[in-house]
Amino acid sequence: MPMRVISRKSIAVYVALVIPMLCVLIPVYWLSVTSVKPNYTIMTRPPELLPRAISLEHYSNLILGKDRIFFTYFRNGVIVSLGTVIVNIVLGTAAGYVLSRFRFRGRLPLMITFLGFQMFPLVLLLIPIYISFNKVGLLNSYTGLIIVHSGLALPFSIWLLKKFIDKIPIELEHAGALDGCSTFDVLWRIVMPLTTPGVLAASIFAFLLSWNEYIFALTLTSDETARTLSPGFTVMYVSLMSERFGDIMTAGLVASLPVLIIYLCLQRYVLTGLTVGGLK
Amino acid sequence: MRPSTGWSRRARRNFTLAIFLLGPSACLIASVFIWPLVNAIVLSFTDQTLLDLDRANWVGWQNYRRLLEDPAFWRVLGNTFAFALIVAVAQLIFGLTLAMLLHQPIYGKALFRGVVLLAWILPVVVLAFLWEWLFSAEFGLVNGGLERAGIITDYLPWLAHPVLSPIAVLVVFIWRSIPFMMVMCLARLETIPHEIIEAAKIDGAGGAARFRSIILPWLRPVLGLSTLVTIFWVFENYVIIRTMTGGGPADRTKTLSVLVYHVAFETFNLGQAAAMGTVWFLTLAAFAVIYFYIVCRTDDDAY
Repeated sequence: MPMRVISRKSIAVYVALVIPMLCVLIPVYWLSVTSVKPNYTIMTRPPELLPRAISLEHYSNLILGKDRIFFTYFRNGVIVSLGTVIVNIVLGTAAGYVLSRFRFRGRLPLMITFLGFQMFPLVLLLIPIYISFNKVGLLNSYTGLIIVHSGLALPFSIWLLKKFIDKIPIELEHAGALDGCSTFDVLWRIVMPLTTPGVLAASIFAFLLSWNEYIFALTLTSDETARTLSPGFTVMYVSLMSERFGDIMTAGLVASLPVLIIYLCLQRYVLTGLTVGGLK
Repeated sequence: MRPSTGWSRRARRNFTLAIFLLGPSACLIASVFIWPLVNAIVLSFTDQTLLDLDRANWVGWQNYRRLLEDPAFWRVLGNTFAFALIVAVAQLIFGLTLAMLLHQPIYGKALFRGVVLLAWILPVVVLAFLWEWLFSAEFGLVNGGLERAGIITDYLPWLAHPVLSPIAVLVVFIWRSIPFMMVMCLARLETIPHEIIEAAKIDGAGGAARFRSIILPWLRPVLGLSTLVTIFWVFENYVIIRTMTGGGPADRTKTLSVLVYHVAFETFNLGQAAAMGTVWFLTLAAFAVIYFYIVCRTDDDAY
């Protein structure tokens, strides 16, 4: 890595880089600042950049007041997302192992399969799934949503985990077999510990997919038994846009918290997942 | 070892293991992707409605014929394609530029990347409401900022205007997808061996020549893949459009997913919706084939 310099050219680069940073920071700032402004300062023209008064009324609305159902949706979202993560890790590592170790003719068919699934219109898949879930009673259930979300996340998880397992030299497994490990032992004691970064990255992506997932969660639930946060958010606020911006932004901020915390603590794995999963 | 006529015990055991490990995943993927797709295609030939789930009659090509006669469907399809291409091009230009800028020897790369990636991390629902608020006709920050900067004299009704609402929606899509492209490009750029660049510099190749002959071809797989994924995403996304404009003034911002969802779950015409979805799928499949043919012509060894 060449020595970092501060030259005329790099000053221009720094200045150029400030613009995208602002483009991202300003909306995020607006989200946060609106949540602590009292209502009468939100509906002003021109909008106030720096709040002249701070109020926690929106937070108290959310936690104690009429919007308490938010936390039911939050809890449902956590359950469904964690369920999705578990299923993805277990199934994904197993499948990734097979695809990695058992020789397949070329990567291209695999890539095409993976890309192919991204192409399927989700709304189209939703229709028969809704009909059959209705018949077997899986609507409004955690199980139903976990099944769907896991299925949606699985292609990417398998793809990602396969790439990570590819990096583990097969000699380690041979050594293990020589030492008397059964194939299961090899998988459990040798491969799995070494794929921890891959497992973490895949978990994060599965969690993100499930937390963000909207259209299945919206349609497959009709009440708050299992409805997750993404559709719940809309159900709560869609008709109230003109009056309750403060409440909505506050809810939005809280809804983003799990994702933001994961991002702050595990950013490295997010990046690893994106780059390993996206490159050859 | 004596050759046997069938599989050796080891191979048979491995095969059993493979089935055991791969089986559950295959089942789950088949039940969420393959079976519903086949089922939906079959549905498109019926008059299935949401109101009476047990009764469905075979109607042959009727739904498809109705589609052919419906100009609204083709307008929405074209609209969605236009949106997807605009987002893809913008994502490509800005994402690549940012990645190239970040690829310099400067400080604060991780900070910059960390901040910009926030746009990709925030839940889409939250973004939909946030940007609806930002584009608000009465109190929005976009209007406020533009007026302060002297670009406009009066607040604009962004989300209700036939020309401005597509722009607003596209801004959100582009805002979210640039960080993704930037991260992918940057990661790929960092794998270019220094020796190649040094050799090119010694041979007298200027920045533009180096970009054209070394960097761009090296980036091709990543650019191709990320662009395709983004195009699929624009087709797929429902929340942003539905929350911000609901399809826009006179369907100006209606994308295919909003339309199909509406037909399926708001007019309850599942058969017709399935037909639309199937056409959507086939169109994207054809597009992907052409796309692959163009982008991956000579790059088989890059994979």
